[in-house]
Amino acid sequence: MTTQLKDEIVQIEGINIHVMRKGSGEPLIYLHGSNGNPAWTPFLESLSQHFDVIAPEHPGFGKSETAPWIREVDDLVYFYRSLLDHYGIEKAYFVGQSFGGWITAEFASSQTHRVKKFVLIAAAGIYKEGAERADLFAMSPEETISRLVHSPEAQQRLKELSSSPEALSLSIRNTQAFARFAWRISYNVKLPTRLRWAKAPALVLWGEFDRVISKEYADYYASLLPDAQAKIISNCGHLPYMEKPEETANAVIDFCK
Amino acid sequence: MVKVFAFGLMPYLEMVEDFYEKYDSAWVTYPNKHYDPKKGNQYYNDYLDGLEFCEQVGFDGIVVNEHHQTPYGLMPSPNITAAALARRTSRAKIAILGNALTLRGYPQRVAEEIAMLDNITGGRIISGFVRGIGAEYHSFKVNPLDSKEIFYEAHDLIVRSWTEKEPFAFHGKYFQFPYVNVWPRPYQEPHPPIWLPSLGSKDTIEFAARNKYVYLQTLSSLKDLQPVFEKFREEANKVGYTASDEQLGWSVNVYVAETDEIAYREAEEHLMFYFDKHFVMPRHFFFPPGYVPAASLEQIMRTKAGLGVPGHFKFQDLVEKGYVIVGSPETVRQRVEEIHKELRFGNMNVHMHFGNMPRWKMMKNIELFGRQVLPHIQILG
Repeated sequence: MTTQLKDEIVQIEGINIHVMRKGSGEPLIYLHGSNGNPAWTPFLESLSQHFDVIAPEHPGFGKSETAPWIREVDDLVYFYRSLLDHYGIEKAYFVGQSFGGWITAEFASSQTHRVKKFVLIAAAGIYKEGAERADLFAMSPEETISRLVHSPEAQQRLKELSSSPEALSLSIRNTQAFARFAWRISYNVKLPTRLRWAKAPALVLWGEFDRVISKEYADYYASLLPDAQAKIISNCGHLPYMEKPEETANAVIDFCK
Repeated sequence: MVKVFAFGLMPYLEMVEDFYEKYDSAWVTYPNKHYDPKKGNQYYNDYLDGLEFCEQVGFDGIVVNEHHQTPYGLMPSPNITAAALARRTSRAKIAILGNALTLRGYPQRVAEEIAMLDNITGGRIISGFVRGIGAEYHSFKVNPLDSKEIFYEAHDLIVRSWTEKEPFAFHGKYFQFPYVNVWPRPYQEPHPPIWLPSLGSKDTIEFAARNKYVYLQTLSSLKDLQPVFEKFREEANKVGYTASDEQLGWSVNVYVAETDEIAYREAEEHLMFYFDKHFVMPRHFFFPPGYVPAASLEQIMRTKAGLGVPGHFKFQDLVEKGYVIVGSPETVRQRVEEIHKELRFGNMNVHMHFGNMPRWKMMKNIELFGRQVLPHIQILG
């Protein structure tokens, strides 16, 4: 049981991985999106009041190293099996944001027995004809910000966060790491079929004004999963954890408890 | 001796008036509704006429290349352009500079097509290999992080398929085939000369030098050219041989007219169209993740200007920096002689057409250069 924030490098399958961990109770694994998870956030802080929150940075992102065999999302599924083993966790709650939601959905379909419940937030991973979807590799930094979050205040905050000198090299590193998995397409054509095996109860959360992966995907994910409910977060973009941290954390907590 | 080649990108000559207001790129997403096939028919035939005329005026070779989803160059398949030239020419080398190996799917198809062309022309083919530019990774969605590895692996497969005379199995990281057995075999022994055109990538220079290929520097200032050639010669020394001038090539835009004044007046608009219209693309198209190392990308992102940004170059700068040589036949001849004396190279790839240059200027350029400059360059020793 951890109550102080532990910010450490752990070795999993021989790879040095950056993990932040805080809280007590049942374990909850948080899988971040394409912009990484360099620091502890108010959203994770809220979750840590109820769970033992474990937030790794994916291989290749931020302070995590990677290995040549990690090339596709299914490799990450194997990798996260080893992360659970590393912590001696049999079963955990999973919360995945965007790209992390894709990993979560793949994990929940193939590692059914190791997932207690899972939450997909603005998750990539599937494709629906006609539903708006932005190509994060094909836009200027300014457009990226305007698409990621909805409110002018959040856009301003994101702009400030991304203007530091360290932010540029981190963003280049994370974009490369993300491209390893999502350059060709940011979904898996087999996943819609495979979701039928994701039997754990699921919550699908989406921002009302998500301009990266539109909210139509919330219902689409919910329709493909055997036990899922969708919930829309109003006045919110693609990053609910940043724009509506309390509301998003409460939705997760209510669902999991 | 300098072998002199003639080249043009075969661009689409027009772009919409309100291009800057409506679009941020001439690549990937500039809509093909702005392509008129009637004009295209005219352009293709003008360009092919131009290259055929180049053979007549005495060029050692003519050059084609590959680009995708852009008015910048209308040769998505350089082998088709080469095929169109193969039977209309009889003496000049046809240099395909090059096939973008990473964007071609099956490397065997490149091996087969080049071998066909080499047979049809009785061994006049030069086979260049390239990776394709950043924007083309957006068009084809090949992972730029894998680009170099795919390139090297495809190269190995092609060279083996040209040189081994029994079927073989190939089990690489990206390509796996139980039976590689290319028919026809190339006409030239052991295979057509391999050239590697590049903007100066360290890896490409090393690879070319190690394999004793021809390295061709594309689109660069003279200041950038010198260290590249030096690096090539150093790399050759490292692996135990002295590089010959024949292994080095320089690509440059040239415009020749009756006088310096006329040449400047006639060339400027078209060169600026090339840099300020055809080449325009945003950074994220130019440099997809992994296409250049992270540290280089960080440097690039910290500067606002650069290739692809309209207004970055002024005509006078381009002349001074040696991106283009403009002038009367006498001026151009002297300038090339000076540069050759300083840098030493055995191949010169002359862009006889650039930007939105009309046919008559291209033909005049070829004629004046061909008759009054070319013979003087070919004898440089």
